[in-house]
Amino acid sequence: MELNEYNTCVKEWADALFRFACKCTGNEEDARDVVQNSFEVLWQKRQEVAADKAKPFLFQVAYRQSIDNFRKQSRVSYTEQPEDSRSVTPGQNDLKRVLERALTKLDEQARALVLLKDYEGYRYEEIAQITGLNETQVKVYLHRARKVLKDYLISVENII
Amino acid sequence: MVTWENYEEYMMMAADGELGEPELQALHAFVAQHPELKQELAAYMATQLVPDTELVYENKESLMKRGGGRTMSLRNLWVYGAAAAVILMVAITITKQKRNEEGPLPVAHNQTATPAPTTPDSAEELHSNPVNPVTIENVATNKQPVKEEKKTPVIKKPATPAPAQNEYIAKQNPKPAENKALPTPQALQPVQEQEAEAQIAVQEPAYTMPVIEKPAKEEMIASANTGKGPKEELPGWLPIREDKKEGAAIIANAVNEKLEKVKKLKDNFKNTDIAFRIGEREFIVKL
Repeated sequence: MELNEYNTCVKEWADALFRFACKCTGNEEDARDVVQNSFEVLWQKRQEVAADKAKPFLFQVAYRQSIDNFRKQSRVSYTEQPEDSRSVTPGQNDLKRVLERALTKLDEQARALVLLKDYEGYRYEEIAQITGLNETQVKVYLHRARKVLKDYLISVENII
Repeated sequence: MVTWENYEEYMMMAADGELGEPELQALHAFVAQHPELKQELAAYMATQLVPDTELVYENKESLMKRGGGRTMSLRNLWVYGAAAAVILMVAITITKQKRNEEGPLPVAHNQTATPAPTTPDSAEELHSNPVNPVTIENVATNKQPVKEEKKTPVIKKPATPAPAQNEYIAKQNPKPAENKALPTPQALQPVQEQEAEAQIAVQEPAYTMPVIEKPAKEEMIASANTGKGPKEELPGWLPIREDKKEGAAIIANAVNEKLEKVKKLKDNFKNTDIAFRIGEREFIVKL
């Protein structure tokens, strides 16, 4: 990877990586550190990483750092909302906010898998390469996460 | 085929976007047959997260890298090469000038088998000036026995080069009073050579050697030192044919002019500083 290709990666993927890290760590400062470290690792290994493989490489580094960061510091800033369905009024149609709240129900790995699937559109095989899991594990973990999210949404049936 | 056992997996795969078009149509057909599953399918499809585009990484420039490789332009190489050439030229010029100041340039001379009958002091003086008539006289003196050797049928010296056929050999007037310290060529020759010389004199009685009036040694030295000697015309006693005298005079004049130019150049260098610039720095060499 050349210098200009690296800088192109920064322009194209820094925001996506930051969003992914934010949702994984639940903290913007930690997410910023994760992004900086990920690009630094990419720069150091630019001779080994082809330009078209830079994005999965970045997410792989960010995924590992986010998981490690989450497990070591346990500084998840997600504040779980009470599961009382009454908090959601019939006129409240903010699905996005409800989904973010539903994400807090997931563990860090399942959350990362859903983010990689929905935010970046990776297929099972690609997610398996990024996370180091096999394809079947990815599928099973993802389906479990979907079921949790669906159950949460159904419990707030007025939204749907 | 979508059944009651696998419809939920189909719904989750549909939410993941992993179903192909036929499978998706089969799922919708199954849900159409069982309308109670519509809400569940809608719930699964609603679990798809949408990226929050308002969340951006600020100051991306801090992540970017700039070219830090050290480059050297070809233009700089040319400048360094030119500077090196100038320095080399100045060094050579200074070295030559110092040599000229230390003493006269050594002049190469032919060494024949017969040694020149001169003293060491006189030899240095004679070789100091290329147009010094004494040097030419010395050559002529050395050539005299050589020519005699060629014409001598009995004794041959292989180390002695053969002279040209029409070469004229100067005949010196013997001045024993001035050259007392020098051994005469006849004294150095063996007896056999003297006998051969006598035979040549008998065989070639018609050949007459030009008589050269050699100037006194003191006069020659004085003229060489003062530089007021006969530069424009060659001395008459030189053993050169008349038709070649003009060419020899031109050569001698040219050599003298070159010597004058070198002297002028030398004087100019004494009063001149050399300045040259490398990049933004200026160097001055004081001579």
